[in-house]
Amino acid sequence: MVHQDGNHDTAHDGGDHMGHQGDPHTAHQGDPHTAHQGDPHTAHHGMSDDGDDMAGGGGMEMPAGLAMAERTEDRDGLKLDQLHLTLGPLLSEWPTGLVLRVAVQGDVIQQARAETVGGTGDGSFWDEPSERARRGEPVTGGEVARRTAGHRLDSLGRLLEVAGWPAAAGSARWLRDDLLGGLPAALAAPRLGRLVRHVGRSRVLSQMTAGLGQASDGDVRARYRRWLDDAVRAVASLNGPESPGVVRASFARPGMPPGAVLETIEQLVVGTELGVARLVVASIDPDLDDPRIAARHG
Amino acid sequence: MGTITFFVLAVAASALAVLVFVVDSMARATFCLLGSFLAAAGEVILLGLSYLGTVIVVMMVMEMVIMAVFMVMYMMNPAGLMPMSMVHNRRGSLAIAGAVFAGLAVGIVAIRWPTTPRRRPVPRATFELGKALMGPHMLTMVLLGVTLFSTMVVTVMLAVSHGRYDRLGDDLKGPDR
Amino acid sequence: MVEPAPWWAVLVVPAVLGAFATGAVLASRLLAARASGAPSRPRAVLGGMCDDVAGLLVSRRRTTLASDLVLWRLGVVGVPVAAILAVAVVPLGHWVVDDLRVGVVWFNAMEILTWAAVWAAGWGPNSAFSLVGGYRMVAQGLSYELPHMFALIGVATAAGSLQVGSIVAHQRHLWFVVWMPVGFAAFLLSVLGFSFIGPFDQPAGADLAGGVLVEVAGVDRLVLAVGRWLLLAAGAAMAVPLFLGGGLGPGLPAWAWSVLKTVGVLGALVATRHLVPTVRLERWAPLAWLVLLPLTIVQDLVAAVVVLLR
Repeated sequence: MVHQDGNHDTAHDGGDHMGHQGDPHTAHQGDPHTAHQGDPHTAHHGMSDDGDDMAGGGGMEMPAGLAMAERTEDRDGLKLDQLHLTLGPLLSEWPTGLVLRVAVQGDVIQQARAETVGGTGDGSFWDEPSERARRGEPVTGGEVARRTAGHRLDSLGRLLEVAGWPAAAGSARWLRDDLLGGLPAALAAPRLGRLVRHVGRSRVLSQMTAGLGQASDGDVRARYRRWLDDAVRAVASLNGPESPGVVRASFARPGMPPGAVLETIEQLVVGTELGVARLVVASIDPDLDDPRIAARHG
Repeated sequence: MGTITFFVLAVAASALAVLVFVVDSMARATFCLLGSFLAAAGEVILLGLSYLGTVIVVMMVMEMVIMAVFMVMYMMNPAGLMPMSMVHNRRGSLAIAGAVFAGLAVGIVAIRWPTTPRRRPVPRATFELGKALMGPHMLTMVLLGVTLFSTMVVTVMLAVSHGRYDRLGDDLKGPDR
Repeated sequence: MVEPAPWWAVLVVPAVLGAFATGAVLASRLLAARASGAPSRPRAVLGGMCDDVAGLLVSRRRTTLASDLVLWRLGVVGVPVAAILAVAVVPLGHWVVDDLRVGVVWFNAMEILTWAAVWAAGWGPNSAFSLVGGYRMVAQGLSYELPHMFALIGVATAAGSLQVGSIVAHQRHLWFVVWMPVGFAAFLLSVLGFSFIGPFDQPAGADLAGGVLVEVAGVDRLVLAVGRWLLLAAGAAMAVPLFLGGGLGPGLPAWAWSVLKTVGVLGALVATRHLVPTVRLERWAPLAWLVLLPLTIVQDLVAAVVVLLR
């Protein structure tokens, strides 16, 4: 039905438009429907056409050499135009190195395939102190907690930016940077408290994220609320000798089969509007340096 | 001054209307039509019916934008890239358009226009025009308008309820969580 | 009490509107800098804005493959033009470019022009994110427009006139905001809606990497971005004569009251931008149609009953 390998990605994120001149898919031959360009009847690609897809052929000169969108059935069984887009790997507020090849009808995602570009696989920056502790090196609980708090605030900053709240995102990132730079707990706690009150009690944010991206660990709202809790707990144990217990990247948990995170993203974004998909991806926030996220090159 | 404005707007309205059938894109055709309507709204304002003229601007911008959305959806090829034409049944439509134009033009010349003794604006032009058009049916039309509007709102209310995909899941089979 | 200004007011109005918009941008940048720990001294904020403007002025405009250049440029220019035309009927104290008999409808018409402009700006560059942004503007317009119109109808009913000057005169004893708070709230929400700023910035949303802004660069981007803030300033300026008694007030001259009130409304709108995340349309549209719209109709009923009993 759909070329999941994304041969038709006519529009790239960030405005990088590549005309696929000479792409075999743009030069189809022999579709009778495409012979009369000026005839308005050929332009009726709505509901009445028989199931003869443009992908089947056509000897038509395409404007600027761009590939024509195909048509497939949507959720209502209507035949609608379908466009192939590639989200990432370079997109603002997007997990570095993640590539999501999607087929959209309107702004609703019909199919999704997650791939990775780059990603070292030799351990996430955020897990580094706990990895060293696991290898038996001397690591204080405060060090682990500091990195964990930084990680949660990093993810939160990205999610808030995607949710259209740059002011709160800025606060989260400022605190993240200061924490990683060694901000004492006595100064960090009140600032985190303000952020948690501001973000955690925002009814609009809660309303806008409730019920989105429902997975085994809850929805988008549950995830960002857990990040806030994690950060509060981590900052509270900055001076304590013990590890706070939350040390792992948030979505990929021990025991998860490799590739599970990417598969979860694929499943969750299908059927969602582009903006919702962005929120879902930001709430999972995969770190491609994490070895538990298997590399999957397109 | 008024005469010059009249002719400038008249030529603009006609030229943009012709362009609707010349341009090769649904989006451009819609915006040409919008431009034509805006010029026509200018003529109405020139007649001293400033309320009606401005309302024509309001309504036509809204309607043309919504029309653009639907026309692109139904009429254009995927992604709207291919050139297309607004011309349908060329000979028949030319004949109809010519006949209508001739009829209206004859009407302008043939009708006995009321003569106003002094060139002064009617104080409540919109009100007077409404009374002249609707006469005793004004109340009916007002009620009809309100009824139509509430029908629209109720239809939306029945249709939305948070969106059926939210309530029934992607397959519309019912709540599965 | 409101008199037409001399011809040169046509030149002054864009400057005044631009000053309000610049103030709003500076306030917004100041709040953002303070929230994220960036330098927030007035000089740093002003310098940052000047740097950005200069950067846009010298950077190249962008063209994209198979773009509809005519509609694209028309859309980009249409946004600031609509804002400037809209304030032609907004009085500053006693002065107004033209106190049209149908001033309220004129403002409404100019505001609706932004639908067409933003849609065209999104359509033009032949880019998926930009296109989605343009369509979001139409959906947003359909959500805020009816509450907006009913808010205006309430004001017009209460004053018995569509003339802005006459509406101000009718608030001599009591500002309309006092007994039409719902209309005022709906009007302010729609100002954020038609200037697609703050909670209603989905057409230019961060989730679309900028939406209608994603493909515009250089001067085009400056024009479109300035247009948004001009629209916000125009909306704030119009809220003053409609609901806050225009230039009425004790002590100070009328123009000073107009300026003060406009700054107040503009400040509240800018603060909203920093306190509230983006409102997604799929969740806002039902709320607008099922809650806000009936509320504004009830508000109009109240206005009509008050007028009948008075």
